[in-house]
Amino acid sequence: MLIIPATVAPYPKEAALPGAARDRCQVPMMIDTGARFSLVADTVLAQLGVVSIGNTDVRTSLQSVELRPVCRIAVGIEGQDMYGDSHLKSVPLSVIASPPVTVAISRSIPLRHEGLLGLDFLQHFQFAYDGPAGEFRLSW
Amino acid sequence: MDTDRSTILDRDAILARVANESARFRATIPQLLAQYRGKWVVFRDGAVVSVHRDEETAYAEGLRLFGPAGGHVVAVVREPEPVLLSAAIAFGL
Repeated sequence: MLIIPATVAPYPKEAALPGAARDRCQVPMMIDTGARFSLVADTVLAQLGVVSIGNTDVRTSLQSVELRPVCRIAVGIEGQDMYGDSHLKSVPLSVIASPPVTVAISRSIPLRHEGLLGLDFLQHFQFAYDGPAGEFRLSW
Repeated sequence: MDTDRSTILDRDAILARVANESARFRATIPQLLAQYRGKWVVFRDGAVVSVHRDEETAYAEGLRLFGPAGGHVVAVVREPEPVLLSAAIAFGL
């Protein structure tokens, strides 16, 4: 399970409603290579003042389908170049709004994240797993 | 609702309007497929406002025409199909 900090923001900034609490948020998001689309918690989208551009049917389990809003935002992650300088790689995404999700790897260790980074986001990066080192690497 | 003066306090009302417009769009899809299949459209007040080749240009046009509080829909014209979020979520893993 890989949870990383991601920066989310209205796209473009003029797409936010006036009076929004924040113009960008850094939130923990789980990388999910099994997800076609990315999700962001609606509480985060509300803070950014972002509204939906439509709804879509989402299969949340084998038995249920729910209608969820879709919002277009900028999602980015920060990385370092060979000189140690930080850079933010941000891409526009149409994300599905969802309630915040808490995943527990044990009763005493909840891992709260506020979204999923799916293949729509990951396609903009090289994603590698070094098994012996136990490391994931995202690069661009 | 004066969309030019909408603020964050109007967010719930705007989301409701988009939800209604999205339902109208889905109901209209059978009629739209013949002319607009695979195209991205800006849809509002029960009608297609503009047609585009990709989502980004449709989104930009919708924002230009109606602003962030426009209550419009940006969508691709195709038969609705439930999106599988993630196998992990679907199977409760």
